[in-house]
Amino acid sequence: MKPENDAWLALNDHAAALLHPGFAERTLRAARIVAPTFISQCILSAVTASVCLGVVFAVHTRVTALETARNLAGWELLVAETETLGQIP
Amino acid sequence: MDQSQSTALAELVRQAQEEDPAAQRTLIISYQRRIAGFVYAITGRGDAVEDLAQLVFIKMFRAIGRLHDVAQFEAWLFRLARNTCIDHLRRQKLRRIFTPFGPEHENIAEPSGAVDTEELDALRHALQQLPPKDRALLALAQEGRSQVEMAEATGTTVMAVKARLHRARERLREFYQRPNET
Repeated sequence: MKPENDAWLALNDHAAALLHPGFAERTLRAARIVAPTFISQCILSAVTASVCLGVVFAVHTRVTALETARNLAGWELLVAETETLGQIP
Repeated sequence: MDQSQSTALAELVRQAQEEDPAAQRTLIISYQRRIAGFVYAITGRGDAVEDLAQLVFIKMFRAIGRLHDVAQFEAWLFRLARNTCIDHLRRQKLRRIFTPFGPEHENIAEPSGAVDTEELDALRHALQQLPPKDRALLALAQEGRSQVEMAEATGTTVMAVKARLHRARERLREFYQRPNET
């Protein structure tokens, strides 16, 4: 028997003592929880990315529309003022 | 393991494959001590033993249906345990790259009082000086796995396993100092 064989046995004993009581039951309970598959995780990622893109597009469209409306209003005001100035003899 | 024990184990594995909870529970109880020791030998971390042992058994139940040769159950289980530990250590190494903590925070040695004998401390110390793959090889050998099984588990040839195991044993002996020898 090699000198470290006793130590290996002690190592197993020590490691086994680190497992808390009810380890088997806890493990069985954890094993029954359905783990997400790779495909389901890919689908979830794709859906999340689509939602994010949709939100970015909607926000961008709204901000652009507001900016356009503001610019148009500015131009209309400018035109009105120019017309008013043109009518002055 | 004698013939009757092998037959009983094969029957237990078959029942576990049919998702019999009693057989699954018996399998965990039969192997938890050895798997815990195996995980501890490779990782050297007492705080990782329970989580990793649990992960090994969860993986075992999820994959046991695909095990065709029930006689190979033990070799298969320890291969699974070895890969789980190596993956864990690899992830830990990767995490170290992305976290601001230094390696000294990651590898705080367990105080010697946390283990119960000086011999065990000496073995733990010696194992920690070896690379994880050598520790895994020594743990597989200690579990009585054949060199063919070890070669399958590590994805190398029997000759490579022989050489690496010999080297790992030499290095372990070099670092292993029994308390009465110091």
